[in-house]
Amino acid sequence: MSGTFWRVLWMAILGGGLVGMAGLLLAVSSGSVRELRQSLDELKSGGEGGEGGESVKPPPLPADPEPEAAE
Amino acid sequence: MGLFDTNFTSIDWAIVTVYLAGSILIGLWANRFVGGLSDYLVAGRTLRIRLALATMTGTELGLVTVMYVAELGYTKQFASLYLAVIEVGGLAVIGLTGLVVYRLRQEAVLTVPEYYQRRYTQTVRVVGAVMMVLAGVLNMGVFLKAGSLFVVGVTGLEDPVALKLIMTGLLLLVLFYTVLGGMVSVVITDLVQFLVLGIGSLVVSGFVLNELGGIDGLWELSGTTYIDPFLNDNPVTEAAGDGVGPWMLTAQWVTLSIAVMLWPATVSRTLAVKSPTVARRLYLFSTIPFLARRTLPALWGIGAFAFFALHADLGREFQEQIDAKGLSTLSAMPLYLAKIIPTGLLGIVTAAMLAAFMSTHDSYLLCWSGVIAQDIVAPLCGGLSDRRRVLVTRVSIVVIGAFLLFWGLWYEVGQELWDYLVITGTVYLSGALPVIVGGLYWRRASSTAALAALACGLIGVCGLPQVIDVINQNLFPDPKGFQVFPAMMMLVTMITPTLVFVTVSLLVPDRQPPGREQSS
Repeated sequence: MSGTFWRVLWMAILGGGLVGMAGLLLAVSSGSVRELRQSLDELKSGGEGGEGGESVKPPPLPADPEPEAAE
Repeated sequence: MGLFDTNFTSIDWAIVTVYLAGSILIGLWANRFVGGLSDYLVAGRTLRIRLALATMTGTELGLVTVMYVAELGYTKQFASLYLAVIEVGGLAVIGLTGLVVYRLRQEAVLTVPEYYQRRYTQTVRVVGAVMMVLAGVLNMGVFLKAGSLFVVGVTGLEDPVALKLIMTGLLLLVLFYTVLGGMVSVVITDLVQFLVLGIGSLVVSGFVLNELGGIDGLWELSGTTYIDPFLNDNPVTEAAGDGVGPWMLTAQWVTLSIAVMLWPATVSRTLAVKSPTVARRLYLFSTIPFLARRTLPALWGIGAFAFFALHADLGREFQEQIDAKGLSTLSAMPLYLAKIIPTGLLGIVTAAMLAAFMSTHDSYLLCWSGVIAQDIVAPLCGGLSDRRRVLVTRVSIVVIGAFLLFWGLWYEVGQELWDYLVITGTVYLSGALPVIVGGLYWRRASSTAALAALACGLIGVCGLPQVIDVINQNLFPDPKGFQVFPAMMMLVTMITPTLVFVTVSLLVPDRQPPGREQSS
């Protein structure tokens, strides 16, 4: 592959990193502070609750650990 | 201008001190939100996408990342950016398909080894946890030194005692707020650190670009440096074989693709999000911060390369220090930033980098300690109460911290920092790959095969240069004949556990269907 290809590729990637970080700061900053408040509120009231049906709970399991007979 | 001249003054020290004091206050404050084990280890699984993304960036854009990426930028210039392509490509594939992470989050486990027990047996869980902690702590063992080298380079402190005191102080600070607040504390501090670090990294990049003569200067520089990673030799150095080349490219592609999917500190954030869908989206959106973490520090390393090339006297002095083992190429970037960033701003940038240092340390400490409590001590003790598990986690954080201090003080990295991280990471990743992926997608994956694959991960240490030297001396003594080399060994050690896993699964299947064991 030619030198020009690599030079253009690396310049585009460096530009992408700079623009990406700036965009990320703009897009995420305010929303993440609000979400932190929500998370802390949920933690105060018991955790693992919140936005209803999407959360996943572990499947029910027997009360006592089984011995390692399967091995 | 001397090599250790710096713009760092008492004003900058004051800025850094205020920032670090703030981190202690956050640790104290976060402690009030920790009610139980789930709160401590995964923040009660309350994280939504923006917060998870911000904190994952805080964790993954650590100072050690900044240091090794900048080192690669200094030694391999533009060609070092191939790692950005590999990493972002891997994340995009996972983010679009949900490969592995979606199903793993569906399992609703607190740690990866807990999944091992759910899918295989308790023994697999304990062995998997031991391998994970071993690889993780070894991997983390050089973080402290890398962080301290940055502080020493930026502040111009030449006294070796100062380096040790800084290492100790930084570690104690991280231990303090991680022990107190667990994941809640980690999430809050990571968010603050994300903001400070994000702004700091953009400011530094602006200064570096300006120093290089803007985009035009950068473009010109790319025409005279190493740009094609397929070349084995770096054209700007005289030494042979000091480039990347096809073998290393392949080895890094394999390792990094697996690491973005299965590295425990990243997975622990995946397990802390609200749902499997958020986990998948987190990976997709993470392509942006991961691109930034692979490119911005590389730009600073490239800037350091150009700076030392332009100031030939400083470059010569720096090279002499490297030859005399007084410094390593890791110090190029901090020594460079100390000269181009003005006083005051340098303090903010240093605070940002210390933020990066702490945000990685806290997450990693919590991850490995959580695994010790949850997946080694609790199963071996026949179960522990939540209160005791939190206690064991906290004690483990302190014990790992003590080890890190010891290891960081005496271990000398014999290769580029990134290569050390890849090799130690392979000890975990090579075994975990077939065990997790096979467990999620292949019904015939067996417990015996999982144990064999995890144990096989130990051969990952064969990638260390010291071990390769021993192998060559004893098995291939003719230097002109066949010799084992690092990239080949990395590939062999990464692939072997998968081959062992498939073979043993076919030969020794489980006698009962998967997923019968109780998680404790």
